[in-house]
This record gives sequence, structure tokens and C-alpha cells, in this order.
Amino acid sequence: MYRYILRRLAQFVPVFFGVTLLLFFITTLLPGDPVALRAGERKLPPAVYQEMRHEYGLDKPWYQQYVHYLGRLARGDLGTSISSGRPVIAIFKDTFPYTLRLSLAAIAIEILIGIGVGVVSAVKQYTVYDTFATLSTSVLVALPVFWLGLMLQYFFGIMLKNWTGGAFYLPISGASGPVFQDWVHLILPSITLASVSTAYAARIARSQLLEVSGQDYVRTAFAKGLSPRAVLWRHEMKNALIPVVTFIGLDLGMMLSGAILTETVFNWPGIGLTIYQAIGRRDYPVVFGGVTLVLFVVLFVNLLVDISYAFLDPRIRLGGKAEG
Amino acid sequence: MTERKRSILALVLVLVFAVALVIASGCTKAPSQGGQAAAPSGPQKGGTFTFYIGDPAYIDPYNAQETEGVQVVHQLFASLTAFDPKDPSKLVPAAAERWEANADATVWTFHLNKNDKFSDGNPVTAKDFVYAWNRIANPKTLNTATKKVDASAISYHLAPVKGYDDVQAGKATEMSGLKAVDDYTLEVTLSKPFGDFEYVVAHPALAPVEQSLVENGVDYNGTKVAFGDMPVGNGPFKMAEPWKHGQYVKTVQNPNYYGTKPYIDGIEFRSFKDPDTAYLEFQAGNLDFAQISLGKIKDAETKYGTSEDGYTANPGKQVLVGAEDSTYYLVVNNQDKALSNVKLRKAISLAINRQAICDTLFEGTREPADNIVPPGIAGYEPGMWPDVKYDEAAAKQMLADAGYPDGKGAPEISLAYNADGGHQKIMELVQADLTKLGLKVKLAPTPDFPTYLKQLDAGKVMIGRLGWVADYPIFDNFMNPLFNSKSTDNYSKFADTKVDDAIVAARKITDTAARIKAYQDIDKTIGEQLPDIPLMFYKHHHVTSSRVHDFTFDAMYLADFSKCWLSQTASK
Repeated sequence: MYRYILRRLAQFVPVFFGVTLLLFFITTLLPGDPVALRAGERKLPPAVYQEMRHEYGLDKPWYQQYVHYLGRLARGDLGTSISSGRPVIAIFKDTFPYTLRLSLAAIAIEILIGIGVGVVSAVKQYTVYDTFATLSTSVLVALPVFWLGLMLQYFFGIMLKNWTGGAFYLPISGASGPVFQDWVHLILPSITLASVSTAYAARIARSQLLEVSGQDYVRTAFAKGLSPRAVLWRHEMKNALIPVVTFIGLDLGMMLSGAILTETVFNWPGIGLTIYQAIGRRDYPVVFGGVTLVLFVVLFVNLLVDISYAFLDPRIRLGGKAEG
Repeated sequence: MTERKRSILALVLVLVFAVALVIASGCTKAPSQGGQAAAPSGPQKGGTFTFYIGDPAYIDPYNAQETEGVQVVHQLFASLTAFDPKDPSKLVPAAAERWEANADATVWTFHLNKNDKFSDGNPVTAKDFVYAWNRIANPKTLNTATKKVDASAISYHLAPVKGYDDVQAGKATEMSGLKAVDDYTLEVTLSKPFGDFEYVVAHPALAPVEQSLVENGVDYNGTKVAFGDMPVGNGPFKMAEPWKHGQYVKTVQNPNYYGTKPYIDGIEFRSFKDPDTAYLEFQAGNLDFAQISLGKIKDAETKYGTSEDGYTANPGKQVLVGAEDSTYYLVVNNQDKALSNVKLRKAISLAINRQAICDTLFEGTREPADNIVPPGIAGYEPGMWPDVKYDEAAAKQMLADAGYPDGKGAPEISLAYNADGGHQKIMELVQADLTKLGLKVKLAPTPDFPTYLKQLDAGKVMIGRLGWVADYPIFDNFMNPLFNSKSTDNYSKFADTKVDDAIVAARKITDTAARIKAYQDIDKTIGEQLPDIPLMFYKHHHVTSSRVHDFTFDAMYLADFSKCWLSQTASK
């Protein structure tokens, strides 16, 4: 197991250099000057322009900038935002916890409701539950995220409040106000973020369960006299869950990279919109810092997913010879 | 209990939990939105005004560059003079109780209000202005949080001050033109005459700051906070806590403010990434001020009522649609072979149906421009640029006069713009109008503003788009940057030595009426040559909640809370 983890970590080295080098190279092709953009449509005074370009190392070739970036990274410094003058570390220290919180809430929904609905749907195949689940997951997959978010905001934030004279409602946007820390702010954005993935998770869980339910070992388990519940939880679920876990793991990685639409609609102060806006402003230190953070996070999540396989399926022995 | 019963019980429990959760959330105070609030007898004290802004880049005055940052700085600080919120083209005293200029407007003396104090109780002195302004001018100024070089992007405000060039060039760290004669007298010597300098010093960015706080930080609950995150100023409000980046700036009344104390307890600036989300929050009763989403202006006017003057909000008259001091225009490359022909430029201008653009795309929240200078600028008169109007017949005639009857022989016109921000639709309508005139027109979009700006900088644009937002409500703020041949903001590359000389001459005039007259003449001269083609003047499309009284949002995009009060009895 440890050898496997070490090998996976070693694999990260070429991935890291590949991604960051490519990113640096692409920025040389991207038109737009981050320093000039600080003044919008006005021109910066020439002295200020030169000084700021020098300060951010933009007067150097991209490979030198890359070496500086690596040097800074080794010292735990991601540089300074060109558009706001803030340390990039501070920006992500502010925003990443919100992304983490939202992602975990969305993943919890995905696991509980997605897998739950999938299981019910499979166990009660061709019943009214199954039909309802199939229909609702189809609808959810087809709904654009921003539209769903808006509808939830209208219904729970405005209409419900009006109907009840202000007694019952859910917060519309997450970021502002003294009650921001209140967890109720998570409800609508996490439901919105989780919606499509929950529907997929339900469908995958259903189809996988149905597939394994026809396997020989399931028949054997029944033949041994195990109760349907025991067969489901001890035998079917463990095997059926691997593709679901893979999907949810990948999804968690995606969510932790930032959810631009959900963050925009709900004014959620996460990293997705921060990175997106930084690209628009050509704020390269923030872009590079964000990509570096996302790289590490995705690697970590993928590693966790791989390790979880071993627990779900005893046949998988990470790092063992059988793995090839 | 059967499995089914257990499932039903679980479902009921989940529902009960969900309802409890919703009840728990329904506990915040909310401004009421539509309809009249109960009419109280007079202004009431108290309440926090919740104000929508985009996330500012800086709230430290030295780099207050975009409208969001300027808005916050405006409430935290007071500059030497101030724009009158009812008519920003007029000035009122602020940190300076009076001021005067010498005969050729090269030396300005500001006499500070001796009661003016920072919110920490320290008096505001001339030295605080000298320090603040040098900090802006010096390209090696440090960021208060990172202690790294972070030059001000708005040092151009101080370009008229003597010694500015030396500081910019690194030959000095202090502008020789700044002199604290005594604690309460600031003398500013300019490198060239500038009769409108009193307007420049009204800009919120040119506020005083305390050197010790900028360099050492501000105490907050026993810890030091960077000045940039918790600026201490001399304005009507002060920071209640450090800036929560991306979320909010909370302010409370400044007990040491020299002027009349506001009625409201404080302002909470809430940052939104998307103004449409802010408008939803407004509709839900969680904001006192928001920008109305496009497509919902008429609906909002019906629901909330329209402000009488467009700038002042009261219950039932809550939608603000006053004109702003800013212009959306087509920037024309005057060095292009075909477009150097003034008649072709005029034909293009006459062919554009500006009213249709304003009505179709903006629900009347913009109005057709008839000048580069908007109506809020003192001295503006309608019709000073005679060819900035829609007249199809005149356009056809002008095109023929230009040598291209019905467009024959005319080169293909390229319309460049950044495709984000709604510019695509404007350019499509312009394209349709010009095509109708007989010209061949192609759209040349770039994916975003940085790419577009790069093209514009490189002089690769034939006709493009730009917006100009006034820093100060004066003619000079349009004439000099946009049409002076030496200005770096003159993207049209318009060059007329007569105009350059006339601007220099106008700047020397200290008599306001005479100066305005001189600028009107310059404006007319430029209008005859039509180097750029104005399209629209921007207008507010904002709304306040029904508990808000006497709130002003002026043509300079600055909020005034001096008379604003909140109904404490409004329904929650």
C-alpha cells in the first residue's frame, strides 16, 4: 500500500511539470497585458507601467518567470495578485475553505441521495419508485445548473418568504452579511451543485446494482440462505459501488477545482470564480497559484479514491504484483 | 414496525428537520421592497444601509481606481473639495473649508477645516495630504499588506503637480509642488496652469492618510491589520472591522467626523460577483440598494416607482435612472486612409440609429449621445456636435460627399470590440445601420477585453468601442485625455495643434464661466472634425428599498448618505 502511494506521488512530478510548463507557455500566446489592465480603458503612466512589469517579472522571458515561480513555490510563496496587490496565498486561504465546504456538502448529497435513489430504484426495479427515480434523474440531468439555481432562489428565497410573511425562507446568496457563517447558506448552492452529479450517481448505482445482482456469487449468497438485505449490503453493494466511487471521486476533484456557475449564481466566494476572473484579468500569479492548488487537490482526491477501491473490493491489492 | 412504516417515519423526520432548518434561517432583518413604508413624521436615526457593490480591487485611497473601490473610499474619506451630490458640476467645501488660486491658476492654496479629524481622533493636517499624494505619485510605493512595490494606477490625477514627473522618473520621492505651509494650509504648485484643479482634488482617491497607520498598520482587537484592509479616514463613516475580501466591507458612523453626522448607523457594502444575484437579494428584501437587471427595468419602475430627479430615492420613488457622467462611443482610427476623411466619419455617425440601440438593448437605461461630453458636465449644451444624430438622408448625402455615393468604392469597415459585456449586440445594430447606408461592414470581435485592448494599443483597430467615465465633471476631463495629441488615452490618434493649444489656453483661465466658454469652443471645434463617434450616455438603473429616504446617487456614481435615513417601522 505504502509503495503504491509513493509511486502515485512520484507520478505527480511529471504531471506537475507538464501542466505548469504548458500553462506558462500558453500564457505567452495569450494576448493581453495584466499590468495595462489595472487601469482599465485608461493608460497607466509609463513609469508605473514599467515599475509594475518589473515587479511582477513580466519583463522577463516566460521560462525565467517559470523558474521564479518554482523558486517561490519551494518557499511556499505563490506570489502577489497583479490586479489587487494581495498575496495569492491569502486569496486562496480566503476562498478555498468555501470551495471545500460547498464541495463536501454537494458530495454528501450526491452520496446520500444519489446512491440512495439508485439502490431503491434497483431494488424496486420497474415499480413506481423506479419510474419516478428514472424520470426525475432525467429531468435533473437536462436542467442547466444556473437555471435550477435561479429557480431555487426564487422559490425558497423570495416566494416562500412572501407567502409566509418573512417567517420561512432560505438565503439566496452565500457570501454576504453577518450570517454568512450560518450553514443554511450552504443548502441551495450545494443542492444546485450536486444536482446533475446526483442524478448520474443514481443512474450508475442503479445499473451497477442490477448488473451485479445477476452474478453467480449473488445467487450463491442467496442459496446460502442470506437475507436479501445482507446480500445487498455485503455482496452486491461492495461490487457495484466501485464505478460509483470512481465517478464521485472524479466529481469531487472537479468540484474542488471550483464551480464557476454555482459560485456566480449564489455569490459563493470560492476558488472557481477567483481563477476564472483572474484569467479574464490576465492575473497570472493568481491563475498559476490556483492551478497549482487544484493540481495538488485533484491528485490527493484521486489517491483517496484509488485507496478506497482496496476497501470496497478485497480482490484489488494496491501495489501488489497482481495489479500488474 | 414494518420496513415501509420505518421508511415513512424517516421521511417525516427528514421533513420536520428541513422545516426546522428553514425556520432557523428566517431570522435576518430585511429591508422592505415594494410599496410605501409607513410614513414617519421626520428623519429617524439608526439602521444599517445594505449597499450592493462589485468586489473592489482596493479600498485604500491611493489605488481607488474602479467605481467599487471609489464608492467605499468616498464614504471613509473626505478630500479637499467635494462634488455637490445634487449637482456634481458644482463644488462644495470638504476637508478644505476654503481655497484660492493665483492669477494663472498655477498655485493653489487650500485652507483646511480645523475640526477635521481622522476616525482615530487625530487631526487632519496638511502633512497628511502631502504624504498621501506623494504616496500616489511614487511608482515605488509599497502595498500595505505585502510590503512589496504596488504602484498606484491612478497617479495621473496628480500629473499637473510640479515635481510629479521627477517622482515618476525616480529622481525624487516627493513632489516639489506640495508644501504644508502650516498644519492647516496646503499649498500646491502646478507645473502648468490648470483652472479646474479644484475639481481634481475632489476625487476621493486624493484623500489624506496618516503615515504611521499606512506604514505600521491599524490596531484592531489587539492585532495589527494592514491599512489597505482597514483604512482609517476622515469621512462620515469608518471601518467596523477589516475588509472581508470578496464578501463585505462593514462601516459604522465616524464619531469624529467634522461634518453633520449621518442619520444611519452605518453602511454594509456587500460584494456580489453578479449584479443579477444582487437584484434577487434586493427582491428578497435583503439589500437596500441594487442594480436592476436588464430586462426588468420597466417592471421595477412599475413596482417601486421612479425617482423624480433620477438621483434621489424615497419610498415609492425608488428607481434611479439619472444620467451618468460617462459616454459610450466608437473610437475611430483617424490615421486610417479612408477614415481620415471627416465626411466618411460623419456619414457613419449620421447613419446610426442610437435611439433604437438604447430602446432595443437597454430599455431606455442609456440615452442617445449627441456629444462626447454628457449632459451632467457644466457647459454642456445639446447639439454641439451637429453630426451626432440619426438622419438617414443626411448620412447618404454625406457619404456621397465623401466620395462614396451609396457606398460605391468605399473600403470595407471593420468594427472591433470585445465580445463579452454585451458589446456584440450593439455592434450588430451598428453594422446593420451602416450596411443599410451602403457600406460593407464586418464585425471583428475579440474574445475578451484584454485581447481587445492589445489590438487597440497596437493601432490595429479601424473602428472600435470604448467607454469614458469622467473622473471629474468637467469638460477638460474629456477634451484633454481623449483629443490632446500628446495624450496616451487618445486612441483615435486625433491630432490638431489648434485643439492642443486651445486646451492649454483654457486651462489658464481661472474664471469659471470664461473657462467653460473656452471649453465649449474647443468642444465645437472637435465636434466639427468628429474624431470619435459618440453612441450613448450611460444612465443609472438602480433601485432602493422602500425604507430608504433621501438617498442620493449622483451623476458621478457616488452615493451620498448625508441626508439619508431609514424607516425603522418598515415591515420586515
